[in-house]
Amino acid sequence: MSPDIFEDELRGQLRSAADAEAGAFLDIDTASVIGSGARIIRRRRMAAAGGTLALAVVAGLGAWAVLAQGTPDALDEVPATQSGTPTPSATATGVVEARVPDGAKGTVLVRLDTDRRTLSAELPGGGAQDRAVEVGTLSAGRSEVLYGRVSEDPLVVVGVLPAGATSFSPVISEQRGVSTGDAELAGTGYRAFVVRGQREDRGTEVTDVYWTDGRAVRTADGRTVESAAMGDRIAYHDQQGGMFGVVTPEGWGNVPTSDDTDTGLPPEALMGVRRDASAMDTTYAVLLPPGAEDVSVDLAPDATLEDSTTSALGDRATVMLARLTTPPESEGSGVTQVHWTDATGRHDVGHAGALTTPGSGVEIGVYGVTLDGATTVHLVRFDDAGRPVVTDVDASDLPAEGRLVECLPDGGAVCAALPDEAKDITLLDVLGRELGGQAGWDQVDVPGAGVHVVVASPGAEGLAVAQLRWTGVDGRTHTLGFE
Amino acid sequence: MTTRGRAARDEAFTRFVEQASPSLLRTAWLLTGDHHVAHDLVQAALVKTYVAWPRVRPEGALAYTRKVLVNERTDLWRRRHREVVVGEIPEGPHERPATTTEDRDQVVRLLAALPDQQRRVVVLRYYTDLSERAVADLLDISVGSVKSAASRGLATLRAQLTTSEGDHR
Repeated sequence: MSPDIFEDELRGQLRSAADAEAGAFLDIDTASVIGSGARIIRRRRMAAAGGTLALAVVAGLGAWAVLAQGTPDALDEVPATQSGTPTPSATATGVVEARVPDGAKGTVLVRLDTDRRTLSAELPGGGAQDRAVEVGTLSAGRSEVLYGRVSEDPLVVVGVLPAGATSFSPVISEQRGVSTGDAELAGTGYRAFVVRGQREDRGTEVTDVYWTDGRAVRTADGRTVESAAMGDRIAYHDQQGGMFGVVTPEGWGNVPTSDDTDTGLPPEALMGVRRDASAMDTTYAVLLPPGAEDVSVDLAPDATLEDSTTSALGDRATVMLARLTTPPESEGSGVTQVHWTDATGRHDVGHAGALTTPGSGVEIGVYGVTLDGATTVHLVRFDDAGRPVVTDVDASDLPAEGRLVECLPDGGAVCAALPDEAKDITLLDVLGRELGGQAGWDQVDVPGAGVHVVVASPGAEGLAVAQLRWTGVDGRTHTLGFE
Repeated sequence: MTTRGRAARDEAFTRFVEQASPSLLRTAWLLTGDHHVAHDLVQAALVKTYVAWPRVRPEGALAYTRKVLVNERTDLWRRRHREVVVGEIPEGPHERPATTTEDRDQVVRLLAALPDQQRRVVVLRYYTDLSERAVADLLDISVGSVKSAASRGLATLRAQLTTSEGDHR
């Protein structure tokens, strides 16, 4: 049988065999796929949004500090565009190599063949002969970012950036830690980079690479995203990719902003680095609606404002970019509230931190949002599908006993907005009986709103909470039911 | 939360699953020889595709999922290397005369007996009709390795099938 005939027959037999099995395949459960995927997105978001959802519980109200309102031209705004990528100028010929640190005590030899425009890497063979892996081929006549995985376990991704890139940040499919390194490919117009994952983090992928030339932020395909620079710091908003972030000389910090992650609260991005034993330098950015004016923030008592400015970020957003100093042991950004005015009114958004439901361990982010003087408490958690679930509690005319809402389904936990700090909490069933020794509770204050938020759980399934009894610092006891 | 964007995304992804899953399931079955394992593989690959969906172009979605599937398959092979059930290769003149159905069964059994790399290359080259370059990209190996694996895999299949044909005659 000749090879061609045999190959054709093999194709036919494989198709015939697969088609014959069509009726035996189990249906794909699309809802299950979407649910699992959404949970992964949610985990990524929770990890990435640590600066937002895990902001420190603020002890007491922050010192009030008004940031100097930056003029629009104080920021060097770079609009989103599809062009403008710097063109590398190549002077080298033949094969150019660079040994690139992988950030994990190893190196990867990266080779760029300037004639064939092919990129390859050589990986240590673990005692055997080193192993060469092709990464890909650069398109002729245009500058670009090229990258590809050269090892799966551990993840090792090798690529090149235009030599004008001053720093880069890989976008990781799972929110996992990776280390990076880069080195010049002399005379080629490119820098080589390596991204290395943890050995135990299987399945991690690099889905994009943000990079900057110090002025704007671009994606791997050369798209320039809305960027604004303040000195050596850049805020950027990639609407298409759903990411908001800051770039500093020390590194990148970002949060997702896609529909999947929208809680109605302004996204914040942080990058903090310890300056010395007594201080941490934090770069803080908050993404506000277009046309936001009179932007200011309140700071925690131990935070100091070093510099700030505000500007339009394209025509769809406003960004405030600030540099703060905080003690190294402090949690969060040092910003306790953000204030601005836009077409819908005057906004005051305060971060209270996160409550953990006793027993089930569900994290609930607590925010106080005041619009033209009327305060609403946002309780944000994520459902099994990874979608944010926001429960609002009207705190504008809070009665003396407070307000009670269900904040986990099926009576898993209740939340209460109280006008005073609670010293003791008791849960009651519909007959007024105290619920169990396994009950627990947690509390945070909403800065600037005079509201204290409590989460309480009966601690066992099947116990229906009907009322919450609480005793304030003044010693008075209130009993609170659902409205 | 803004639900409109999420709903549109889910709708588009659902359409993709409906269109792509028959082909993906067939590929996974040829790779594994097991309906349940194939189903799990496709399901896992689709989850990863959903996560990456905002960055996966519609025209590249199938290729993306296929790549994830093959990589998932690699993981599975590594984890279950000694658990892969290899079908019995028919031999001997006592076999009944070949029929179309038997041919199909036989090629699948022979495929299952190939080394992992050869089986992947054969399936991707001769069932999904990918080019050598595309297979190399998919498996993160060189084109030379694809050629080598395809050559060895075809030689084994040809020898077995030819022997079987001869035996039947």
